[in-house]
Amino acid sequence: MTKFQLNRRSVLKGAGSIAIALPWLEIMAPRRVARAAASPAQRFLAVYQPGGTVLEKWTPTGTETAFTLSPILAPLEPVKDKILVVGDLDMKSAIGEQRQAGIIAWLTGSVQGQSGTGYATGPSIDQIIATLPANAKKSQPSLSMAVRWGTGKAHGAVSPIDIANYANVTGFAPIAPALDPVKIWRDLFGTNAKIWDKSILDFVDRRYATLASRLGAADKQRLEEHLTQLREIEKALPVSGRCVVPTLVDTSDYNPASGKNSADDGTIKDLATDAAIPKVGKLMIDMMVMAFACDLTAVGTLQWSDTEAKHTFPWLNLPETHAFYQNDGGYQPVQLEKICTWYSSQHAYLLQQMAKVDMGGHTLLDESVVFFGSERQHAATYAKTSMPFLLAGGGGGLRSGRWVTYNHLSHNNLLVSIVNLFGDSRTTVGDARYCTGPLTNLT
Amino acid sequence: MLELRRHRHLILVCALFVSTAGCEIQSRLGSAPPDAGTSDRDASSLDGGAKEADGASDRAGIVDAGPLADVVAPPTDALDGGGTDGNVPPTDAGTDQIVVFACLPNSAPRVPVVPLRRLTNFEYNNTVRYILADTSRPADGLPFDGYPNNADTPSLPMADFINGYHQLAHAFAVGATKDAVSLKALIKCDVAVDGEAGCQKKFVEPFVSSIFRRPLDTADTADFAAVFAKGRELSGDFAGGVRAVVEVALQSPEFLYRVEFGKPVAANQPVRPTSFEMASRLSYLLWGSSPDSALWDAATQDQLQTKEQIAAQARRMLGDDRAREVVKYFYLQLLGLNVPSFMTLSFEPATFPTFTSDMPSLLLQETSAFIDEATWQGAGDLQTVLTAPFTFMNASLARLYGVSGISGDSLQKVAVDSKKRAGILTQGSVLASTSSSTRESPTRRGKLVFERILCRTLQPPPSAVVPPLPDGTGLTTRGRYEQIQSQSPQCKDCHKEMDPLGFAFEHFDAAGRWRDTEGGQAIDATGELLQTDAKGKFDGAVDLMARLAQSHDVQNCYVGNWMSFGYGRVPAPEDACSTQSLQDAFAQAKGNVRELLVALTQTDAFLYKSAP
Repeated sequence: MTKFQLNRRSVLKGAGSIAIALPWLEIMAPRRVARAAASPAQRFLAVYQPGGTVLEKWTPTGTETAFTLSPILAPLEPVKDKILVVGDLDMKSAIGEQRQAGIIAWLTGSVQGQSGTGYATGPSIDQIIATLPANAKKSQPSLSMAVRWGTGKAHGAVSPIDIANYANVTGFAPIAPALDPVKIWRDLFGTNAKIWDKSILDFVDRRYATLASRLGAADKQRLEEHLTQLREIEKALPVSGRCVVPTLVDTSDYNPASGKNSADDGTIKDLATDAAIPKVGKLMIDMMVMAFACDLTAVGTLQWSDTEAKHTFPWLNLPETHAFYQNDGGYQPVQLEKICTWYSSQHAYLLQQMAKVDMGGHTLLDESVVFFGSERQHAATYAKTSMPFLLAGGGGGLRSGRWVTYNHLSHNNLLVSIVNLFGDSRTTVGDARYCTGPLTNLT
Repeated sequence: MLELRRHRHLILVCALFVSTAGCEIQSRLGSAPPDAGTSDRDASSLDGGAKEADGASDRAGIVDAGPLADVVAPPTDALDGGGTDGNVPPTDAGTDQIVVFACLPNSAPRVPVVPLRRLTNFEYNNTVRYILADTSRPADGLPFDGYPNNADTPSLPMADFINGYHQLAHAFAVGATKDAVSLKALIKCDVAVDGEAGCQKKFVEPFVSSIFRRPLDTADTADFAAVFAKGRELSGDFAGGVRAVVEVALQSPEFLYRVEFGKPVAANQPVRPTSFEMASRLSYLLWGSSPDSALWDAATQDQLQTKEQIAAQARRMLGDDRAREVVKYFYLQLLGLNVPSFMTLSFEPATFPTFTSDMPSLLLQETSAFIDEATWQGAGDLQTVLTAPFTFMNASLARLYGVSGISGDSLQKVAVDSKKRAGILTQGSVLASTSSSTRESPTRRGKLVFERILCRTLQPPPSAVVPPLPDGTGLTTRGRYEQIQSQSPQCKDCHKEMDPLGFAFEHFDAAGRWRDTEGGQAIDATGELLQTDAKGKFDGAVDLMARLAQSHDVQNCYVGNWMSFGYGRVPAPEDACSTQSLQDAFAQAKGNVRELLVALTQTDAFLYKSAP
């Protein structure tokens, strides 16, 4: 809920400059109106990073509004005013197998159906948001994609160990992420009639403009009239100027089904595919951002791997798997910090891309809520207290540029708060035993 | 003045708002045989030599001198004195004055500034049929664009056309690439044999250049390579590249418009279309479609430059069925028979039982067969079209017309009673289309003759005043129209010009059937034509047609209609010599329509383009 706050400084400023000609409350009223009328958030994006963090290298220092980013979060400095660091929430609903319960609870706030084999017992918030009436008209209700997914025991298949999204219908079926960047690109942009139309019209426009410039005045005027009408057609397409189809870079060195070849213990490595992760990750970010900008969807999830994370980081000169540095090879916080910092830098790129898209007077990031999280806090102990959560964006009146902590409240409270940002008024999400209502001090 | 009035519809008038010194006038306009001066000019006009500088023409506005010229009348009187012998005396600056443009002997070629033409729906349909073998008449789904034959008539909804082109291009491209068989038929190449790169090369350049009606330049080639690549990328397959090329090509200005750059021949003179541009001028004028391979070859060799080369192509092209389609379309458009509502014409069945639902289609077949016969057989002249004592019928049409002895579904040539019917205007198609479902409209019939055969115009009726027709009891249709006229003096001034022409057709009921009486009363088909060289009294349609067929004004109107149709615009002051030469040629050819079609390729308007 939005709270009207009148601080001492604004009272003094207002009273000083306008004097007493107007009742002072009236002077201050517009600000209240503006705050109260924050329109619902338009886009939701969840970003998953496996394996928790190194908490002492993650937690900022300072105060709510005057804080210094920790080493792991340092790459986010350029978008610091767009993020909201959410500290000290516990994932109390993560009950079940230690990895599986974590990724299940992350977006659902529900406990695992049966420890070790069951899935979520409730929908994930991305699906709740996707099924709100406002999102009914999108080409796709939601979009889930993952980089280097299904590693280890999952062998590239849907498993409680690698699924974050669950349908918002009884049964709460797991939703597998899309893995093949080329297929994602084609499904989103290549076969989309509006994108196709726009691409064709771009060429047609250019032909009219070029020819008009070579002809005499009377001819030129006629072609320019035609061009004006063509642009009207384009304007009527929901994909206007902000929609720029991402370049489909060559990812032939990347095997999206590499997970299928995994060994349970991570001993089979696919170094070529691993080396392509940064390139593929960037492409997936670009596709996700443009899926929003082109209004193809309003809801997305991007998974960096899965809770097993049995892949390597050749570009960081880390030849072992993430799982190895977490626990399998003994807890190695230096390497983990390096990995987590890299994920932060990818996240910074994502947020910057979103901040570049003009949605008509505000940016894509301004109208969005981006939730960055993991299935655990501590890589080795699987602790799920003080989760390393980040929000970003300004959707629904979210006040970013701050660091807020919640003294070990249940993270279900955050989940319901996020849903509330989209104009929904429910008071609980997930397992009600672990939800005491929305968090304060988000908006 | 008499001379000017007789040929008023050909008089090109300009209003000058500044000193008019140098704006020639001459009253030569009309139907006299070509004099030596015009012949000289015709012979030399393509040599490119500047013969004579023109005066104030660029400051001229045009007024078509129909009856509206009488409305803006005072200046017309100024023509009385000096009209016949040349120049207007200089007048005070700032005085509005109307003077006549004329074709002076040995004048340099002149053409008005004409923006590039967009394809009409007829041309679009023909073009995709010819190039893409698409016989579905896709442009019928666009807004209707009938008379006049100008796709850029301001009243047409431009946005709907452009949206329509976008959708037609997309629909065709999707259909043509939907499966391997369709794709192969379109690209005339087998990817399995020639590979993607090979087929791309074999397809893109020939396809786009046929759509553009000219060879591609390097910029086009690069552009369409990028289009192909984008389509290939988006769809992930070769067919997507083809699809994108087709979609962009079919929306490009080089397809939808008649793009012309021209090439200079002399300083301060109009330019000549290039040979490829001339190939399109010829093919769209005579075929309503894109050039064939013979025109393409001639253009490649730059053999479409001299009048003789162009005339030879025109004569060749008239031997093709596509020319027949154009002539048919000319008449159907002129007479308003191509309007979509024609095909749903119906009449009150108790009174008109023989006008069955297939009748609109049959009547169009009749008129089309008649146009073919009248144009391409025998004299092939305008007089035949207006007065021929024959038409075409099958059993159903014969039943409608009340003619016995005709059987079968096929149309056959039938002699008509020459005391009752004469020519195209007495055919059921024209007569029925100018009727309501219960009665004929003498006003609509008269208006058709008045405007489209005599090229005269009237101001639109005052909008508020549309009195209802009086009850029919005891009155003939004519009686009802005359009664309302006598009661509405404000209507009479105009209707007295038009309605008598419609009364000439009173022997034909709403469905076009002959009748001797109406409601027991004798038919009165007499009337008087008040203006033009055909003016005078007549009794019935046959009499009126004979009168019109002799008229120079009617012939010149017909020439003007072909100019508007063929050039896709209303003649302008600068067309004075083009108009003159066509009138001369038509008169010399004794009204032969085929010769007029050739002559249309020999005018300044056709051979030149205004300098950019």
